[in-house]
This record gives sequence, C-alpha cells and structure tokens, in this order.
Amino acid sequence: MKRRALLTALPWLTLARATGACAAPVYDTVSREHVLSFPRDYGAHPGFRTEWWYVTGWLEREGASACGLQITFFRSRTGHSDDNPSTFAPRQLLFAHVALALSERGRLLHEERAARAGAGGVRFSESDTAVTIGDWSFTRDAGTGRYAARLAGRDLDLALDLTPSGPPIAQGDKGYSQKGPRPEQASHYYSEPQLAVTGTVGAGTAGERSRWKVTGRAWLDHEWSSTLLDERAAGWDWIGLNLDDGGSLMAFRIRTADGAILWSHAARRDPQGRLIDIGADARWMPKRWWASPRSQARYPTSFDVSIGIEVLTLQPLMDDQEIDARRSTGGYYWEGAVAVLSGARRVGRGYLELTGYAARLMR
Amino acid sequence: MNSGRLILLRWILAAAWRDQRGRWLVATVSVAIGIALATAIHTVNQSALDSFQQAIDTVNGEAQLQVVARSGHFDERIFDRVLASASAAGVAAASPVVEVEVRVETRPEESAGGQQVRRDQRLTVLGLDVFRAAAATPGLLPIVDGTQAAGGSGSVLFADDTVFLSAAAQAWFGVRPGQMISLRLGLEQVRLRVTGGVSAPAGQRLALMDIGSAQWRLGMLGRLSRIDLKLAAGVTPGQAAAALRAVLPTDVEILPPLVRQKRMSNLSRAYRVNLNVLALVALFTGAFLVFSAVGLSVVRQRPQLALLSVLGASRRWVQAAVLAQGLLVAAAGSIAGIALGLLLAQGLLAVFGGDLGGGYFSGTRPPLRIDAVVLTAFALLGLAIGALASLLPALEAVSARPVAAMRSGSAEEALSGLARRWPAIVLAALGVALAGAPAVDGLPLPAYAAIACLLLAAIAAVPWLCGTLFPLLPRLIGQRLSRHPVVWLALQRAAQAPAQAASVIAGVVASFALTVAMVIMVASFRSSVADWLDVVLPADLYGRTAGAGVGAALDAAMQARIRAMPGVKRAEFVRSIDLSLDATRPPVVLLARAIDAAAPQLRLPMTGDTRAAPAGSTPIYVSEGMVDLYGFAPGGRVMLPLGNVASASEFFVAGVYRDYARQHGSIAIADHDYRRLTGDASVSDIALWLVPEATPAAMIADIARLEPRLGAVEFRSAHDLRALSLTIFDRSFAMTYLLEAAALVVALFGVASAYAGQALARAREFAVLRHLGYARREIIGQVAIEGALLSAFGALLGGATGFVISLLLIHRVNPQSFHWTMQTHVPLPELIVSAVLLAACGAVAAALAMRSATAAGPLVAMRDDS
Repeated sequence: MKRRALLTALPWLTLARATGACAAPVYDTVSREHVLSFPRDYGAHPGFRTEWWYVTGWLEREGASACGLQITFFRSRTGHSDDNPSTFAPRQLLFAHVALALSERGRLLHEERAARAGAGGVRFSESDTAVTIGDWSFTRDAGTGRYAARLAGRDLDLALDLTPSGPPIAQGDKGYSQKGPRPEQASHYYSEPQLAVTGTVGAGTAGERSRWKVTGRAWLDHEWSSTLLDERAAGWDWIGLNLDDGGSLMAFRIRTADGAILWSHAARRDPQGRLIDIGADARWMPKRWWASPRSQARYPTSFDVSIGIEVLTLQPLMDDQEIDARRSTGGYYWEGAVAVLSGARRVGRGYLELTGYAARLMR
Repeated sequence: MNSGRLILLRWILAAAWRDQRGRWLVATVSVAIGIALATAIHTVNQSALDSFQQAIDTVNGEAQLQVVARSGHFDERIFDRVLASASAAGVAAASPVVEVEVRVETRPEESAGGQQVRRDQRLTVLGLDVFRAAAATPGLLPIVDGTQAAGGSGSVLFADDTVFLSAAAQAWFGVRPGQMISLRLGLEQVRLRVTGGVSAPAGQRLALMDIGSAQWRLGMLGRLSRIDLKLAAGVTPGQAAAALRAVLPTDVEILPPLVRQKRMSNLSRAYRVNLNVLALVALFTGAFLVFSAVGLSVVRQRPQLALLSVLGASRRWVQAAVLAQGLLVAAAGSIAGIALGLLLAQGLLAVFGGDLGGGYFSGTRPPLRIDAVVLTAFALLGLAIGALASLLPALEAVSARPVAAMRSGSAEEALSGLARRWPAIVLAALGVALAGAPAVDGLPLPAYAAIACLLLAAIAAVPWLCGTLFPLLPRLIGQRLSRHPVVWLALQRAAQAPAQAASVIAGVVASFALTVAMVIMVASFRSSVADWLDVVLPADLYGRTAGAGVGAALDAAMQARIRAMPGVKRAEFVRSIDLSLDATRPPVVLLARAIDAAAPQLRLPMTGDTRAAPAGSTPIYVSEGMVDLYGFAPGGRVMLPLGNVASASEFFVAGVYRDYARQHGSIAIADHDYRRLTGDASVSDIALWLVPEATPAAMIADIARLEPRLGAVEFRSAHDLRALSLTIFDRSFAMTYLLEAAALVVALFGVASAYAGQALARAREFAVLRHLGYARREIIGQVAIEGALLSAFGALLGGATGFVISLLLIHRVNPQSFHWTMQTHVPLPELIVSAVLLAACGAVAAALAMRSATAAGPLVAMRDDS
C-alpha cells in the first residue's frame, strides 16, 4: 500500500461522484480469490480506481557518494462517463514522481508529471508494464523481464535498467494485501525486491548538469485497488528494505489521527523469496524527529523496527527527504532512503515512507 | 509680464465677459458640446474595445503562441504532431483548447422573474485539459467551489457535466455553484452543473469545461479550436512559429495572441474611426462660434485696445489679450466638455451597453475606461481651436493704425482678411487631389482630409461669394421687391459686408454640408441595402441553428425530412464556416449554398458579369471586400484552405457580389463543390419556399410540431427578416443623425449669437435708421431678411458642398472603410425641406437676437459712439 495510498489524499484523484445523466462507473473490487497471473498482472488494471508502480532504491554513483532514488507512476480512474467517445475524455489519469536523494544537496531533487491518458503520448498497457507520459516512461521487456525507466526533466534525467533477481513476490495472502480491519480495505500487491540497477543519472539545471554512471539495488512495488483505507486512517508508515544477504523486508502500519495503529503488517523473506516471518507483532519505535521548514510537519525519520527477536535500525541518508506534491497528487510526504543497521553493522538499504504527518489524509 | 499688465489683462477679460456674457457662454457651450460628443463616443468605443480585448486576453490565457485553425477548428491529431516536434521547436508546454460559442437558452428556473427569455445571448465556453493548461496558461484554470468539492475536487473537475463560470457569467445566469445551466447548441440542449469559478476580469463572461467533456457535450469530437503554447526560455515566438509551420499542415496558423487581438481590433476599427470623425464635426462647427465671439469682441474692444496701444502697450501684449479671450473660452469649453462627455459615456454604457449602433460590441456591458491620452488630445484640440479662432482677430487688432482704430470701427475692417479668393481655391484643389488618394493603413484618411479641405474651401469662399453674388440679387428678385426699403437695405448690407456674412454662416455651411452629405450617403446606403435584401432573401422562410461546433448543424437526414415536409415547395441549405486567410484580419465567411453556375445572380447580388470557370476548376464567388482586402480579382485563381486534405485547394473567382452583412469579406461556393471537397454535408441555415396556401407563421408552427428537434431553430419570414435588417440599419445610423443634429443646433446658435453681436456692433447704423424714421420692427424685419438670406445662402452652399462630400463618402470612405459599394440616391425633397427650414430658423434666430439687442432707445445708441 504505502505511499501509493497517498493517492487518495490528492485533490485530483479522489473518488468520482456520479453527476448528470451518466452513471458513475463501477470500480472493480479487490478479491481474496484473485490469483496473480503474469505477465497479465504486470500490466495496468484500469477497472480499479488507483494503481501504482513504485521504484525505490540506492544507487552507487561513479565518483560520488551513494544516493537515493524514487520513481513512481500512478494511475487513477476518475468518475468520468464511459460513454464519452472523446480521446480527451478524462477517464484515466496518469501521474509520475521522480526524486533523487543527493546528500550533497541536502534535500530532494524532485519533478513530477500529470496528464490524462489517451491523447498526447500518455498511455498505459494492460498486457505488461508500460506506462508513458510524454518523454517519461517505465516499461518492462517481456523477453528479459528487465524494466527500463526513462525520465527527463528540467533539473534531472534518468536512464536506468532494472533487472529482477527472481520471480515477483506476491505480498499478503497470495497477492491479496489487507490494509484495514474490513476485508474490502485491501489491494492486489506484488513486489520485485533486489532489482539490479545500471544506467545514468543526471542532476542540475540544463547548463551545469552533473551526470553519473550508476549501479545499485532497487525495489519495485506494483499495487492496485479501489478501496484502500479505513475512514479512520490518518496516515501510514511503510518500509521496503533490500537486505545485504539477499533477503527483504516489507512492513507497513496505518495510523489514526491520535496516533493509534489501525492495521499493521510485516513480511521478512529469505534470499529465495520464502517467507521467514510474518510480523503481525512488528513494533516501530521512533528514534529521531525532524521538523520540515516547509510544511512545519514533524517526521520520525529514524526508527527501530522490531520483528520477532530482531531489531533493525533505520537511519536516513539525510533528514530532509520531504516531497511537496501539492501540485500533482497533493500534500506533503516524506519518502527517503534509509540504511538498515543491526547494532552498528549495516545489513541492508531501503526506503521509508511517512505520510499523513503534514495534514490528515482526505478520504 | 509684470503684475500691472496682468491686472490690466484681467480687467480687459472681465470687461469682455461682462459685455456679452451670453455670447461667451454660447461659444463655450458649443466648444463643450463638440468636445463632449467626441469624448463620449471615444470613451464608449474604447471601453467596449478594452472589454472586448480583455475578453480575448482572458480566453487566451497567457499563451505565448497559439496554433489556431483557419476555419473554426482542426483535427485533434495535430496536437500529437505539435507534441512530437515540441522540443525541436522550443515549445515547453502545449495545451489543447476547444472553444465554442453557445447560445444561452433561458434564465434558470430558480431565478426571480424567470419568464424573461434571453434571446440570442452568446457565451464562450472553453474546454481545457487542466494538467496541460496548468503548464501553458496557468491563469486559465477552473477553481472548484468549496461547496462542490465533496469527495475531492478531482471528482468535480473530471465529471462529464461540470462547468466553471466566471463571476460575471454566474451573475448573468443568476446561478450559484451546485445549480444547473442550460446551453443551446444546434438542435441540442446541453445541461451542465456549475461547480466553481474561473478567475476573469470584472465583467467578463466565460465558462470553462474539461476538454473531453466539451468535445463530447459541445459537438467537437475529434476537433480542437486551438493549441496554446508556452515556449522554452530563450526561444522567440518567431522561431517557434517558423519551426512549427514547417511541420504542421496549412489549415492551421501559428500566431502570437497579440495578432489575434489586433485582428479583433481591426474588426471595428473603420467604424470607430468613422464615429470619431463625426464627433469632431461638432467641434469643428464650434470653432466658428469661438471665432465669431472673439472676432466681435475685438471689434467691440477696438477703441480700448487702440487706446492701450497709444498709451504704450506693445502689439504683442494686445495680441495676447485677444488670444487669451479665445483660449479662455476654449479651455472652459474643453474642460466642461470632457466632464460632460464622460458623464454622457457613463450614461450610454449604463443604458445601451458598449454598442453605439455598429453591432460590433452588442451584448457587452463594459465598465467605463478612461483613455487619458486621447482625452488630453481632445482638450488640446479644443485649445488649439480656440487659439486658431482668435488668431485672426488678434492679428487684426494690431494691424490697424491705433488712431483710426480708436473710432468705433466697422467689424468689416477687422474681418476683411477673409475676403480673399485664393485660400478657397487652394483648399478646393487640395481636396480634389486628396480625394484620389488610396486608403492609408486600411483607413480612408486621405478621403477624410479631402472632406475637411472641401469644407474649409466652402467656408473660405463665403465672403467672396457673398461679395460677388449678393449685388446680383436685386436683378434676380425683380425691381419692385428689391426697391422695398427693408429688402433693399438687407440686400445692400449682405453685399457690402461679406466678411461678416462669413462669420455668421460659416457654421451653417459646415454643419449643413455634413448633414447633407450624411443624408445622401445614408439614403444611398439604405436603398442599396433594400435592393440587396430583395436578392439575398428570395425564399419565404429562413431558419438558423445556434452554435458553431461540428455537431451544431443539421445532418443530411434532417435536411431530407425538411424537404419532404408538407407545405414546403423547395428547401435550400447553407453551410457557413469561418476561414482565416490572413492572420491579422478577421476571418472571412465561407458560404456553401445552392448556386446555379449559369445564373449566380439568382442567389447572389452580383456587381458585374460572371465568368465561366475553366473546365476542371472550382468556381467561387467573392464579396467586394475579398477583392479589396485579398486581391481576389474576377477571373483570378486563388488558394483556399478547404477540404479534409490538409492542404490548400485552388479555385477560380467567377464573379463578385455585394455583401453588406460581412464587411471583412465572404466567399460563396456551390454546395455540391463544398461537399465534394470537404465531405461535410451538414448545414446551419435553412431557406424554405412555401406552397401558395402555406403562410410563414403557420409553417413555423408546423415545423415545431412535425420536427420537435427543430424547435430550437429560430425561423423568421423573409418579410420579418427584411424589416429587421432595415431596423438594425436605421439603428446603426441613429448615432450619426444625433451628431448631425448637434452640429446643426450649434450652427444655429452661431447665427443667433452672430446677430446678437451685430446688433451691438451695428448700433450706430440702426440708430441712424431709427432717426430716419425706421420703426424698430422694420429694423428687426431687415435683420430677419438678412438672416434668412444668409442662411439660405449658407444652406445652398452647404448643400452643394454636401453633395460633393457625399460622393466622397459613397465612393471613397465606404469602399475604403467597409469594402462595399452602393448606388447614389439623392433624397431631393427631404433636402429641400431641410434647407428651407434652415433658412427660416436663420431668420428667426437673427430676429430674436436683434429683438433683445435693440431694446434700448435710439438716443442711447447714437450716444454710444461719442
């Protein structure tokens, strides 16, 4: 779920109300019975209200320190009538975020795109991962399974290939991932941890752009749903960690406005993707708080997360990894690269997402 | 100048003012009327134009460059082509836009007084992609109303029936967010929910929709009206336009919005200049009043001024004293005139809106916009006229030897400088030369200058003509009558004092000349329009659908059903679309209609012979404007951006017709040719010939019953349309008549005040006559005859001059301003009646003025000179 649910927060995206003569579309619903099938489920599921492909990871730059990477493509289905034959009919909207966490900058380098699908080179595929907004694209090669991310913006550009280390991992119950107390508060969700990344990254304005060859490890989430959050939900915390031994850890918890935990889930896997531990008892203990000068929000940027007998410490690449998405998907959130420590020893790297700290999520 | 002289100057001015208050007031008022009319007309036009341009700015957002259709709209796939070459052309963002003018059906049910049906009110609806508009034209975005955002603003933004209205549009509909509005589009009625606003300048009515919804709901599927572009830093609009032009088809233009603005301004430019010129005529007439007031004041003050000269006042000082009188009058008149004019403009805008009759700004209610630069220019013009009017008297005041001047001189001496022949001849020659010159920058400026020259020539010729013609009069009117002492004296006076005659009737000549010119021009225009209407309205019944969208028209099936209706003998249909052939000009109208190539004059009011199109070429017929503006000469081959193929096609100009409805040019093409080239079989206008037993009124009712969808079409009988057209025509000239009337009133003021002045200047003359046994009423009679004679002469001269000027208006100003010609039609009876009335008014004005001036006894008058 994660960040992605942030979609629901957004002014653009929210639920369509039926107006006028045309009935509101009926959204597909998440079903426990659905079995993920590939390659179909790599593609988009436009019957559902929201969907995202979410890449997070750490990149080693040639001649510079490691940096954090986040690339997200969101799809949102509006309430617009299915009867409208216009190619500009705003039935499906696509959004994309990209953020680089460069420690020398002290804050994120962030750009975004928003557009309706159908016209002007904005499209998605239902048969495989392929999302395009003009010159921003994220596509999967059917033969090799390798993903290609191509994004060029005003202040940054990326050309990255991401190669899976194994088959996708179905999260939750065979891909049915519950997010709240009610069974329909769920999503279909699979991950591809331990993606091997190669490519180039450029940062800086057009005249003085630095460009690096990069290698690294990334994590892809693909998730879709129509009803995600409980109405009491105020925000959530999520982590996706690539452990150095080849294993992975995904965990999230959903908070209410008074800080109580509405729902919590954690899944630790070994290098082969087998589940080691379902941490229904996972505990998140904030270690440090950071106040954003922009949103005034206070984020717990460092946690001790205990799952079973193990305690992992999350240490951010830098404190200021807040994203201002007020102009696209809406609001502020914190999405940052973290190192994973066990005691003083680094055991992995990954991403921490903190939402609902700046303002309560709108339903 | 030291303070003593200043005090002296003040004394002189104060004395002059006390001496003839009425006269100064009249002069001031006449200047004020001229300035007020010019100010009011300019201000109303400018306010309307500003509001118009603001509307265009609003609708265009802040786009730096736009891809626009040559004819209304273009294929939406061009948007992908623009995006494909965006980075190469330096385009940073591109926003596709659908722009539709819709007719607004009625006020919503909720509003008070809902019975009021608003006919033919139009509203511009823009369809936008908010994401792309946010990047290209961030000022042009919908604002979701807080009360409508339940479930998130996204749901409102992308619902398929929502519309965002500017504050003015909400007030106009009388709706609040959450309520429904109803728009009329072709045969369809579209109901939309108001869900928020759009920021627009006060008074601007604008509606925004999502582009996908707009394409669907407003009949624009697959079509775009324009693409707004934002350019990358450092890229000029010229560079980007050139790059895009190379890759886009020719049925679109790439223009900076400024060009489109200029195009809109050009739409009404000739009309506005015309009205301004007319307004200045009143000022021009007022100048003669200032002239006669100052001139006669100088005559009255000659002894005092001469005494001052003898006492050592410099000539320069004396001149300044005289000039100051004219300038004071002009300054007071200008200031009062501008204030009055702004009040008048405010009133006109409040009552009639921004339209002064031309129809260019109908339906607008613009806020008052004060154009300080032009108003200052008007004030300076007023001052210049005051200075000019007092220049001659000032020169005269110092030209005479002081001792001679100390005797109460005749005004004749003071004005004798006018009695020369050569200024009139030079001015007339100049006028004739200018009349032959072509328009400057699309405006008939040389023709206006020629008119001014001819007017001045006529006025300059007055003293000379008086001196030449009046001595001949006794022979003309017979011995017996001219022996009558009163008549004899009047004739002698007129013949002997031609310069004063000029000061009396110059205003009359000028204003009557312009009145006659306008009357002849309007009469010619009206009779030509009446003839034209007979040709263009051959059917019994006409109908027109609303809206300009693709789906706004009648399809082939509906056309067939109309043809088959009982009572219909014959049905013809017209498809009219806008074509843009020149970026800086308003679009021309293309009319696809039934035209018999063998006899086009049956449907088109041709102005000359038609030519047969060579085999293989497509004939078109063009309005006179097309020949003037685009050089579409008969027999020529021209290119038009027509057809689905994205390229221009070649056509043969087979003939020229008159089109009084579309001054910016129209093109007629046979409907089968249009269908062959474009595949567009839909139509927007219907013409029905009825069987003899059907009446238009019954047929209109039948149509609504048989084809309920056609209930939305406004049908009018040819008779009603003809009457309506002529009513509109008359209304559009109402302002002209008003201005002419104002100028005539000012001229009659002039006659009266000139005689009031003369009564004083000629006091000795009248005293002698009284002494010789003349009764006061005989003197008044003599003056009345003088007044009548001079006014009649003024009317005659003015009439003759007016006729010449009317030829200039008909053959120069109209074709150059509006690109149409007309046949000359002189309404002689009306003109003769007005001339006689004018002469009578002149007599009455002179007599009335004299009556009040000669109230004092003869002895007082005799003594006056001692």
